[in-house]
Amino acid sequence: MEAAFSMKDNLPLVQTVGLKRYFYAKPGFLARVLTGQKERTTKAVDGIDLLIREGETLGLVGESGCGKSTLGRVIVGLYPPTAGQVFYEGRPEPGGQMIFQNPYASLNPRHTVRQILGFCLEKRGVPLEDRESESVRLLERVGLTALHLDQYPRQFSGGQRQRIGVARALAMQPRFIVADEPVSALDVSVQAQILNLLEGLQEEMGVSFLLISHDLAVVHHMSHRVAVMYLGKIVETGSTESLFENPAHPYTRALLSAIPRLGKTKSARIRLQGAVPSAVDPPPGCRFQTRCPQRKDICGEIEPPPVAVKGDPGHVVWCHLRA
Amino acid sequence: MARSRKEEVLLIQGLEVSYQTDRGPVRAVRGVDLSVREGEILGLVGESGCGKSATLLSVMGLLPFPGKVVAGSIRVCGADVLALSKKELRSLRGSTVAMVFQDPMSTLNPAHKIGAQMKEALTVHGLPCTQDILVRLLQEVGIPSPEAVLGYYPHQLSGGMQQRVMIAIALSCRPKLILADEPTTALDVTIEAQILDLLRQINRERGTAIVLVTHNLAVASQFCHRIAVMYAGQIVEEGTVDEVLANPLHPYTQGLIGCIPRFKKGVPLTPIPGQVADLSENLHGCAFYPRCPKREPACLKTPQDLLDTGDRLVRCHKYGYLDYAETAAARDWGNE
Ligand SMILES: Nc1ncnc2c1ncn2[C@@H]1O[C@H](COP(=O)(O)OP(=O)(O)OP(=O)(O)O)[C@@H](O)[C@H]1O
Ligand SMILES: Nc1ncnc2c1ncn2[C@@H]1O[C@H](COP(=O)(O)OP(=O)(O)O)[C@@H](O)[C@H]1O
Ligand code: SF4
Ligand code: SF4
Ligand SMILES: [Mg+2]
Ligand SMILES: [Mg+2]
Repeated sequence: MEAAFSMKDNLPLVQTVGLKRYFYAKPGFLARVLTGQKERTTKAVDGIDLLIREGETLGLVGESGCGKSTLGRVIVGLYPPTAGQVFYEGRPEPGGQMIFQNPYASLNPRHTVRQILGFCLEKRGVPLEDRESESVRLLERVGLTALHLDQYPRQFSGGQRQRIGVARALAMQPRFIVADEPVSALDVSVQAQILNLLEGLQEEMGVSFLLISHDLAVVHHMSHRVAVMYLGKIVETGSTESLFENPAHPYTRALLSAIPRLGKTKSARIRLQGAVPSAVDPPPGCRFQTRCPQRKDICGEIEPPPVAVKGDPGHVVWCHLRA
Repeated sequence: MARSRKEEVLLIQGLEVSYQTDRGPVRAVRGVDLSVREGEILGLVGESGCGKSATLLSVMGLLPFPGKVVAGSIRVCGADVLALSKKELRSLRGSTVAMVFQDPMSTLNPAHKIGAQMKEALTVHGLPCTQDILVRLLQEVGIPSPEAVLGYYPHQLSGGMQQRVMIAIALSCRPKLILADEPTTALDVTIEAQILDLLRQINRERGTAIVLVTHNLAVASQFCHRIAVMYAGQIVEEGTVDEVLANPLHPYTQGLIGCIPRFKKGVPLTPIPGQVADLSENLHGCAFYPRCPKREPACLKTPQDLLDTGDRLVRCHKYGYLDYAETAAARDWGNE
């Protein structure tokens, strides 16, 4: 797609440098005394460098628990980083808005749509007398109407709630939105509506997205570039075309080979053996080594360096096979 | 349709299910006919609220209050499910048919260890349950170090492992039929593929028939032999997976396919306009009419019949090739 090429000239909007977010779990007093348990550290995000340009969608994929949501939350400032830095619009601070997987849980059930949007507009400094007209404009942008202003979240269908979630994010006039599994709780037909809505926002307003999804067909459809995450680290990133056609990391290959594709005969699937290591005390060296079909001795000792993949200048893989 | 001579494991005829609510009856299933033979995998697809779960729960005799089967018949391996007593139903569930649900955590008791729960399930069904048997069952579904897992609580297992435990329990009675209601919807792609592999292997090795409810057409296309598309409590299209997905005839099936991204850049998604039909209302003519891009006034005149096109059943007079009167006549000849 030509859009992917012109994207290279767009300015960087969001950048992370060595971003880390750890969670510390203190065992109870008894457990410490009786079993000698020590504090456990979950390295949910463990040193991530990302770049998202203006008007670009970066897809983020990886299995459950690998740290995708945590990364998104740190970028928009919902969690402070343990180390590293987020740059937003060139300044060293987090920024952007977030759309969540479960639109019901993320909307206050006791507030009407007018109140939900009103809070955001107030935060943005919109004067009281302009808030209603601005709210209506936002609702119309996401396919709802002024009639919905005084309704409560429970009075909406799942798809409508997600539209309200999108309107709330737009109320802050963000240039960047983290969409964390925005359609996985929705029916196929409603999924298509919301995806079209997000695409439309990008075309008209040039919003950038970090799109987190376990549905690789959705990621392929929406993203200019894709990053693959495994246990707190990015293991491969590249343009959507290059990454899907020419996956270089053994984990990416296994992931892509597992996609069910409509009408396609089953291609040989790469089966991952071995236990999923946890983000608590990940192994030294490559984090994928416990399940990698191509593991070498060096993989257990040294962390793999980034290596360029031929064909796409932005395509990079972290794996010793390519080094 | 060409039918092989294999034993019919499930035969549903004219099934109607209704939930009695304050707003009046919700007609969740409005006349479903389905048959599944030994060794066959049938996919049941459609948007949420179109009656897929209600159909499966009826087969298990597990419809929750205020749901009721109001018409039709269900036969599992010849047994008339609707005529069975509670006790007979329980023994049917422990010997012939088993169900796997979407959310394993809602079916597993969080307060009990896996071993104890498996033991209970087997005992209820009158099956022997020594430690060895439990270990073997867990091994069969690919759970590593099964001895240890028997001592775990559900939350100590990942979603995929929990679903494997549920399948192990379902398999313990060596069922002839497994009803799987969105068994992989809550799981990652890689884990989803593993669970589907496991079900496929059971199907191949034991000839177990499977009904898989899924909203993912891609999963259905990879896993099922036949597919039935449900809308507003009725089957609207049924045929072999390859035929239905490569050449969908019913406008609703076409709509569902247009909603999913197909790994081709630049092909726009075309959502189905409007919302799923409200089953508490009286539906006249074709239930899909308000959302159908191919509709015409004639579609509202009579309820649409499920028409047999030779390789396919289609509930639409425009795409079922024959019009309503002709098929009614054709059917009368067949009965003579
Ligand atoms: N608030 C928290 N406190 C402690 N641990 C956390 C917290 N949030 C996340 N974690 C842990 O951090 C790791 C990454 O979690 P995260 O939610 O980012 O995963 P994810 O990739 O979004 O997974 P999913 O696909 O299931 O949404 C997990 O091990 C998780 O248990
Ligand atoms: N307990 C219940 N009480 C009232 N209506 C119900 C109940 N459960 C399901 N329904 C209704 O029955 C219809 C079919 O539901 P269901 O079988 O769960 O659909 P599916 O599994 O296809 O999503 C829907 O209209 C739904 O709202
Ligand atoms: S670095 Fe080694 S273990 Fe890691 S993915 Fe590459 S080959 Fe496999
Ligand atoms: S009968 Fe008419 S309204 Fe119904 S699916 Fe066919 S064309 Fe559409
Ligand atoms: Mg998450
Ligand atoms: Mg259901």
